[in-house]
Amino acid sequence: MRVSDRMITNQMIQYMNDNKAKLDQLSNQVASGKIYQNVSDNPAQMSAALTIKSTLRTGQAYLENANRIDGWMKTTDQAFSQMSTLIIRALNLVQKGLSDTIGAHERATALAPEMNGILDEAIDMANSTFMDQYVFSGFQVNTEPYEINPVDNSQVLYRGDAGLMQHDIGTGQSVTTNINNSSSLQAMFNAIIRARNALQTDNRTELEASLADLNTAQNSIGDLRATNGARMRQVDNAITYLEKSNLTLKSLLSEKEDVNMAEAIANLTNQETTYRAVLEVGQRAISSLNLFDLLR
Amino acid sequence: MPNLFAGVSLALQSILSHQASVQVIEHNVANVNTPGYKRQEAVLKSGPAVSSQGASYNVGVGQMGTGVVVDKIRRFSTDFYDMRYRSEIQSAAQYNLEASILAQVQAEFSETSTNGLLNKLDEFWAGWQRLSADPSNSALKAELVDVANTLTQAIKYRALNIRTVQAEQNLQISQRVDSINQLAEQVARLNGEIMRVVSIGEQPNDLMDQRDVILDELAKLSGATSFLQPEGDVIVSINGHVLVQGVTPFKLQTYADPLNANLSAVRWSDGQSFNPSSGELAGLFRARDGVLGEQMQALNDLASTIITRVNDIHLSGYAPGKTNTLASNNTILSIQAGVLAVGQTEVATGSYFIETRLDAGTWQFRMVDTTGNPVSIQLSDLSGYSNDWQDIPTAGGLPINYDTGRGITLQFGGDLSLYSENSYTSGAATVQFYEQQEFFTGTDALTIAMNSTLLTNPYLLATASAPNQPGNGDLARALANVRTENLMNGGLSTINQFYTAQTARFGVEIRRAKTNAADRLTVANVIDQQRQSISGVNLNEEAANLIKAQKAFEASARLMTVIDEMLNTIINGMGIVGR
Repeated sequence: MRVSDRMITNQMIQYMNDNKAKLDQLSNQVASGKIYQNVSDNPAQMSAALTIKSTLRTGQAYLENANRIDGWMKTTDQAFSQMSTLIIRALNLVQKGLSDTIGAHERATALAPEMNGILDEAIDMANSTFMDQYVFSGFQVNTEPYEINPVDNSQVLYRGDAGLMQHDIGTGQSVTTNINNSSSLQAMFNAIIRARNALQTDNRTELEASLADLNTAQNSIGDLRATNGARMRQVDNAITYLEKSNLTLKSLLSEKEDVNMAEAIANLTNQETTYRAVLEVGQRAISSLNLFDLLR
Repeated sequence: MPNLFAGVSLALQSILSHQASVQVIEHNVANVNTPGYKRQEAVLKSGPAVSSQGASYNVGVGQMGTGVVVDKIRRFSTDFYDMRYRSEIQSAAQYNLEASILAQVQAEFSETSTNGLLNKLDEFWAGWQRLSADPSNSALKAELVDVANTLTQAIKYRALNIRTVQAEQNLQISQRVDSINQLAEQVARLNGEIMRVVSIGEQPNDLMDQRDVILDELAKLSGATSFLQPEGDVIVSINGHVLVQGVTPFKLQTYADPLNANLSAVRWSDGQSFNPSSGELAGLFRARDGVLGEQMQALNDLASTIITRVNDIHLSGYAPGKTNTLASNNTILSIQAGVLAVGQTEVATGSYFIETRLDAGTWQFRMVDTTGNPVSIQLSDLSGYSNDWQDIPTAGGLPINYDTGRGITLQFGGDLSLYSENSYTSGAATVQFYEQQEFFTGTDALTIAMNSTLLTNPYLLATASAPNQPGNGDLARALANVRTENLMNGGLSTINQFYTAQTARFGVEIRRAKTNAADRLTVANVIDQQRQSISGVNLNEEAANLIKAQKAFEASARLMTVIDEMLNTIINGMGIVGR
């Protein structure tokens, strides 16, 4: 084949450009740590990576929600636990009041105020807040739900509503966050009030009846606590799952996106050598002698 | 009869011929780097033979050669390769320009950084998700409003970017059309000169080189093809329409296409449409109208779907903690400016009254303005936009709340006859007023924006599915779950999936253009190499030919000297015997 001078130059420039482009691509990989810089480098791989990233971000939001819900439920659990303790204290007081060794005056002046204190504490518990929101007031999270009726002092008013909060803790997976059973709480308050009034008025029959009421309240609070506990376990499971899947997704993403540094640097060094060789050859080819140099 | 003086002219002829050879070689060497130059060669031929007449001195019978002449200056033309080259380079140029235009917006669409639109979409859904768990948290609301605002800006920015790149092509188009017109004129002029030179039997080598270079350029720009005619001219045409015929060029012109957002389009000066099938202009149109047009359409689909769906849900909800009871215990509604500013289904700013009547045993109501004219309101079941009497809904024989669907709840209670027709002053009803807002305004990717009222008052965000329930995050939850709704592609994919697919598709388009450009360029380069192999200048070859011509020139000069001496012998040496 006949080789003209322009052919050699053009070919050389072409080789140099090709190799320079390869070098550029490899050094971009090493510098950015990512295999692909643009979607066009590998559309299929990139869209898979995008989907993973999207799932990760959604999972993060679910995780934040689940953690918050977990906190809410823990507050609820503590309130119930306190309420159980209070009912036990109330039961003890009633037992004490039923004892024959105590007189009417002592019942009214020592035991009744203590029972009233238990009522106040129970109301405080029912007004528990999680991050400044009342956990037992349904959707009325900004309204203090329970308050003793200031008029007759023998009734607890409920200002919340019957709202049940549904929250997502995963795609298509939701949980009811709040326990909203004002009738059970009211029953507890009423039992305590009944005991207090009986102590005040020294009414033995009423006091005995309140014993049964308190036991019922104890059971229903226990039931509510169990329900809350079951939901807490569900949320805890969701948190564990979300954290685990986040980890899995991250490593999957890294597999799709991240450069294997050792390999990339080896490739880069290799390409540098090639590029140098191309320059060397090019320099010789372009500046090679021709017949004009030798003629005299 | 051989003639000694003829020898002088023979030697002269030889000297001149080889001098011409050297000149052609000089021309080659000088043009070693000229693009499109095809090497030339002085083709030598032995001169016409002359019959020896009057063979009286017994020198034999036959013809005498008369030395050497330059037959023609031969051009190493490569017409076949030229055509092959042009058909490849026009495709290469097409894909190359397409890829380079698309690469301008690729950074926007690459989604590799945290600035990706997908990232912002996810943040938007996550914002609602967080708000659903804690709907009365004002910090989350402020954050969501900010995220949503960034999302609208990101969508708008992408759309604007596409529009800008599309509009920038107007200049590219007009520059190329100008070039094509100029080149066509040059071809026409060269056609004229070439035909003139050919008609007198000569070969216009350098003019043809020039024309070939222009034809390469025209193929690259517009995919023009050319046909060589016997008179030496070429007919150039672009996808079936003649660009140059003989000495006549046909012009192209640009115009703003009203059917395509007033972007530049090209037509022939005779009004016919210009549809290049390859070349840079074809690549440009494919990038601008095909790929970018489709991406623009996709962005518009995405934007309008988000706007419609989010607004629908948001308008059905309530902002907790921001419910006003207006005009309690009377029927006057005072509607304030900017609060219910949503579309034409709203009642305008002003004061209104509720009228009731008993119609065949059924209580009905309507809204009237202060002068008693009925006002159209949208019903909550969206059944109609009407100013007619509406039945007051009842349950168990008692009137219940009537939600007009746009933030006004009429709470009928007590004695309905108190509202009676044309009596606006008293009544036992409560008119509750809940602020409801569209979330987004605009209709497509270029106009999408956050509702400015929400932007400045994030507390107006609707998160609850019912009024007066600050802990109710059901609406926020419904909005967060729009993420998983199959709203795009006729119910086949979610918004995120749709956008991811579009991004991948854009990547595929760029890769297709780049790969095709590289492939075609490789083929074009190979053909160019072959072309060069035939017509390119090789300095070694020229040097050898130069020496060859030089030696022949020297020999011819020596010949002249010999003949000179022979003449000298005859003139000065003959007839002086014995002198």
